Amino acid sequence: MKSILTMKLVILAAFLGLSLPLQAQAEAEEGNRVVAHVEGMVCDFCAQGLLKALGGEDSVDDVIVDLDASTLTVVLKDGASLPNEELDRIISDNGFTVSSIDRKGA
Amino acid sequence: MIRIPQMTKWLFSAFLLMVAVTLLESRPISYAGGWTVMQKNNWERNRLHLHYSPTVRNSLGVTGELYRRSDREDYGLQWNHLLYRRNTRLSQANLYFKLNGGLARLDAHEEPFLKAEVAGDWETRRWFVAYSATGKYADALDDGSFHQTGRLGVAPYVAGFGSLHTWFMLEAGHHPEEADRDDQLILTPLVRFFKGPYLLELGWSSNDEVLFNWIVRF
Repeated sequence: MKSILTMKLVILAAFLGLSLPLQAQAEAEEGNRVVAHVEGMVCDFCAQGLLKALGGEDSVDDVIVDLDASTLTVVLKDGASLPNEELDRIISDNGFTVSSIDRKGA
Repeated sequence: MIRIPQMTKWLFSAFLLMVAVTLLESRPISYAGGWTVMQKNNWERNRLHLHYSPTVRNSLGVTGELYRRSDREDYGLQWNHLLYRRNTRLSQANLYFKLNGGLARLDAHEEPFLKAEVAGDWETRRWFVAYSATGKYADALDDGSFHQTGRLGVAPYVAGFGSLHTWFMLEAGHHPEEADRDDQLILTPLVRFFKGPYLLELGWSSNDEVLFNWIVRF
């Protein structure tokens, strides 16, 4: 009986030991994502310019366009930052309007 | 020897001045500028246009076109300017001014030409509406002309980013200066495909001619 209990505790500890780092990693990745809600982004041609502009930024690792949600998700490189004002300026310079910016995990 | 009337000289000078002003007013490039090459082929003309956009509000380029009915050739510079844009979450509307000027050639005779166009469009991911009005002038080669074009489009499905987008469109063109009545009011049903930086349009006009347009951005 005692050995079963010990085994359960070992499994629980192993599960926690594995899941906590994974959760921390996921939270860190979320913290690296900035979601801009963009008005006027209604076609591929429109979004191409945004990809080009943001892709050229040193701090940006990836850009994900979602035309259905009218969002632009900017994945930042580790330790990099992109202030809201800068992101707003880049998107505005491309002819679009930023309605809001979300920083997940921030 | 090319004869250049005073009026044409004035219009051409105005064009060059506006191009110069545009260059001066261009904002610093905060993103990589885009190049576009587009070719339009329809009952009226074959046209090639290569342009560079220093900002989202201006593009400057070179044009070459052949008018199929008369064999007239136009070679010039073109400035496109975004006058106004309105963005909403589901739509975008634009108003453009376009100026194209250069040298027109017909039967070994050459004259400066000038074209001005105002164009507007409104689109959602499902609907597309566009209108343009163009005036052109080449002194001895024509008496000046004015034509209008409108387009209505609908997307049969709403495609996501990076997917193949398809549109069914109807284009109506009004060219009152054309001698043939069939060329004065033309309806052209067409299909537009685009994916990434590539766009292709195929259609067939009411005066029994093919429409074939393409655009590549890089």
